Amino acid sequence: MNTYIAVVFASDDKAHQALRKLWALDDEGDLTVHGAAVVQRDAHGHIHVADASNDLGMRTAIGVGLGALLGLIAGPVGVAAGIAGAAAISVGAATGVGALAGGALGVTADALNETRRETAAEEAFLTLRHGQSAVVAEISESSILVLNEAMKALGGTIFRRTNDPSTNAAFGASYYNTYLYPYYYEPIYG
Amino acid sequence: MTKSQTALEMTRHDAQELHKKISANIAQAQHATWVDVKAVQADMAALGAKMQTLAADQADDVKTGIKAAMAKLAAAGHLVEDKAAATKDGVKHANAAMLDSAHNAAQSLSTAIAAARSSLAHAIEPQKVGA
Repeated sequence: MNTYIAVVFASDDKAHQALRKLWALDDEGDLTVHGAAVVQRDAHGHIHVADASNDLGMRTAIGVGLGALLGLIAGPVGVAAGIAGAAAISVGAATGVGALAGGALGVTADALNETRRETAAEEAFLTLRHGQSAVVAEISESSILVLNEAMKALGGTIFRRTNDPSTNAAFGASYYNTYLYPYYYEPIYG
Repeated sequence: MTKSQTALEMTRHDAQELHKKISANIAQAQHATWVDVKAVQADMAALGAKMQTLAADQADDVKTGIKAAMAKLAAAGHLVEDKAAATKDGVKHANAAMLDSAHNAAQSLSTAIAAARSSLAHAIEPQKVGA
């Protein structure tokens, strides 16, 4: 069973180290990475993908697919935001993709902050605050301990969601694929 | 590690390298030509042949994924130069199709690797006494 993960870090440097570690774990056969990328939320709340150095340093604003995936990892409210964002983007606001998807996650974060006041289950929900970075990936793991220990050592907070067929039904198969690199890359930060 | 897994991992590495090569061609869009496209197509054909051999030994669900990726590889490998289209647009379209194919190949191979690793983990895990 594949698992979507987001590991949130306070700094770009730690996220980069985590990306390197993730692929090192794959090399060792401790888990399998199907694709991974580093995303960053800027001071304006927009979320960007830290691209590879050979992509001309373009920090791609996240589109429908990765926005939906982040929404999925964020939990029920995030899924709703992701679907709403996808619907809005699909009518053709291509230039607004980054702003909309980033905004959707911003809304998600705000909504979850409200939820947090009422529940004790804070750790169940992904929030990516302004200035934070995260490693987003799809992996297969036989034990969660391997990743937990590796990311804890780097100060990361892990969020997991199981690959759910209903998500593919909502967004289409491989909806986020083009944003997740199928190998380790040197991320560029803005 | 089994020999089968090693072959899978080496083939995934080939797919990853192919993805990097195509990404580099896309990054230098202004200078990419049909010569670059055809060079990548040769690599794609070689990767497709390796995947065909590997697919035979995989579980049905993994085999299906690999075969789907192989079909995409084959389709992108047969893209031919469109003399009528603007050269840059044609090269751009070809690179995009090949990148998608390489991505699919890498992902289907990582799925096969995960399945193989899972089988190996089950095979070597301690058995319950009396089981």
